[in-house]
Amino acid sequence: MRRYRADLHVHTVLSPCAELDMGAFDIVSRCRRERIDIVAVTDHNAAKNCKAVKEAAKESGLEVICGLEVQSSEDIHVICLFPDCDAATAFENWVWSLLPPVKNRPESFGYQLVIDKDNNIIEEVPFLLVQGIDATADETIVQAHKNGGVAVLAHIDRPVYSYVAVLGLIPENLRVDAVELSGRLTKEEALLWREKTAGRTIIRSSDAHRLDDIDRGKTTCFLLERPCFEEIAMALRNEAGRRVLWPWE
Amino acid sequence: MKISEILRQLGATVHVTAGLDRDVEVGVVGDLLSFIMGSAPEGAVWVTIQNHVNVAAVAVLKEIPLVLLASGRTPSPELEDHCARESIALASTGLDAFELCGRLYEMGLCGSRRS
Repeated sequence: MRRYRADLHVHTVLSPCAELDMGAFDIVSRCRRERIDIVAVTDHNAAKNCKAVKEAAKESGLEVICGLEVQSSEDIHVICLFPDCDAATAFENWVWSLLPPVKNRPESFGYQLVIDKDNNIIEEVPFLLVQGIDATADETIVQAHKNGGVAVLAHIDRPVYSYVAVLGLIPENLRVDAVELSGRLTKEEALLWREKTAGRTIIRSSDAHRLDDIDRGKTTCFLLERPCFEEIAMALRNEAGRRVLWPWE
Repeated sequence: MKISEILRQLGATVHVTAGLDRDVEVGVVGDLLSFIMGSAPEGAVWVTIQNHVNVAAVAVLKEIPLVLLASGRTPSPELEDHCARESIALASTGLDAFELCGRLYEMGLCGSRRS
């Protein structure tokens, strides 16, 4: 078992709010520069750029996890991670079937670009990805599990788009695999959240929307046999010696 | 004003009938539970479109006797159960939150600033 450094929340040019420097190869090389071993690609309500980053990372030593950051009907963000691109795509189909038919206006919201590993633009997603889908956060978590994935409550410390801000508290019986705290929290702030969420696995992620946001100091150390989805899922559940190390140590 | 009278005048669908003879004078509106937890006056009628089970927990915390779901939202079965257990009246209406607050204001209820 050894330590792997992971950032499980990174956007690409598919997210309208992300900068255009979030290309496939660019994310891979930035992660390597920051000595990050595992990165999860988590665009808003979409998984279409996971493949590009995964292919760009081949032979780089960086492990790429396929995921999405779902926005629920209550405007809560939930990170959903999957074993492979196919599972993420199946889940994405469910998400898109529940997405309101509102067109994207790139001049207001930004471009939503699907790219290949060489950053060639394959298509622009025409409908707006940053909207709440017609499913609650709790329903989203259940569906992610049905599709073989894990679910993490995103940035629960923030005043918007967080489970705690919208729903006040995390029910004890909520079957979420972990909660995420923002990379910018101080150690003292993070400790307060640890008290408030006693018993929950806590990870720290960058939620990077531009390359400079990808930062070793905004990641989480995992104790794993191998850097892969299955091992991460075990660590989130604290199984068989796999575990998540406290990020603010 | 008695809760039963408010519900009668609104023509609301009542899901949990606990404590209908209680009096209320203040109202609050909001869907972010953290905001309601931080700012709702105790004993207020709460107008919201949020139908998550946590609504009951926040209502207990703020001693809210009546939750009114607006815009045709219906309670989840879990929310109904919890409200019944905690003796919180729960009703829904097709009126949107703006219209609903206007009606409550006409009935003499007010926001926290005037209470």
